[in-house]
Amino acid sequence: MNTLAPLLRTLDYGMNRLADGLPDARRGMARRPATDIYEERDAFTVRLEAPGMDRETLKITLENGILSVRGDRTNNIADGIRMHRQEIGAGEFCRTFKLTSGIEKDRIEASYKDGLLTIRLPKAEEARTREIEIKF
Amino acid sequence: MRNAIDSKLQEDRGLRAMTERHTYSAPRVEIREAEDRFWVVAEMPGVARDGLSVRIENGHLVVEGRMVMNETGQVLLAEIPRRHYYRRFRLGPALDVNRIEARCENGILYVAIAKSEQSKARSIDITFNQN
Repeated sequence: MNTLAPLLRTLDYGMNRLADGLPDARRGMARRPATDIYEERDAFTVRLEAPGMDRETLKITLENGILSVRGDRTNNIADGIRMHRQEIGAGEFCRTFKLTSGIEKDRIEASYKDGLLTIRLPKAEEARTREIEIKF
Repeated sequence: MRNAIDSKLQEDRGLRAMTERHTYSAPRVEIREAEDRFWVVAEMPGVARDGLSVRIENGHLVVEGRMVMNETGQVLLAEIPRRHYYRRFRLGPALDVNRIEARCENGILYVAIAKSEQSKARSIDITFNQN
């Protein structure tokens, strides 16, 4: 399977900052979660590693063809708890992807399970791979 | 020559990560102490219930988990390593190994180990002379 041009691009760190318009300095410092992208005949799947998130702290937005995934992880420790070791970090993360016209933007779906966020981006009909019948 | 190109392409596409080889990795943890128990909190994204094991082995708490990610299609980006998480903690005599509870939520494993009765912090009553 060969694609003519990827319909989906991850924006690098510099672009990330530009796309965000840098409303504050911290945003540029947000961590980038590790991401996998797969392409199938009729859809792309984007998967991000984001353990410990909940409904309120995980946001996906689509604006001007830029798909943004943001999360903010707080580490609420109840009173009276002594911390002996703390390796798990807290804070914001952000990752953005540029979508082209080959994606059906209204049919994007996302699910969250076992700390992985999975976003499915269906391809528009004309962007799908189709087999051409050869007449012999 | 063709082989060389193929392997280059595979590296570019991150296909290496898609093979069955897992990377052994120690999960990041927090160890919290409450009044009556200790908590071991381990970050293990991608590990489902049936890939997870929490056990006591020779006086150690062992947490182990294997990421399972079934993918189809062509890999365009592969940054998430397929990890086999493993970490061991030595349990002191102040802990009651018979009272351990574990749960996993959103890729985070929580293990609570009760303190043994004699090791719980207790305050000592102070008797004042009533003069």
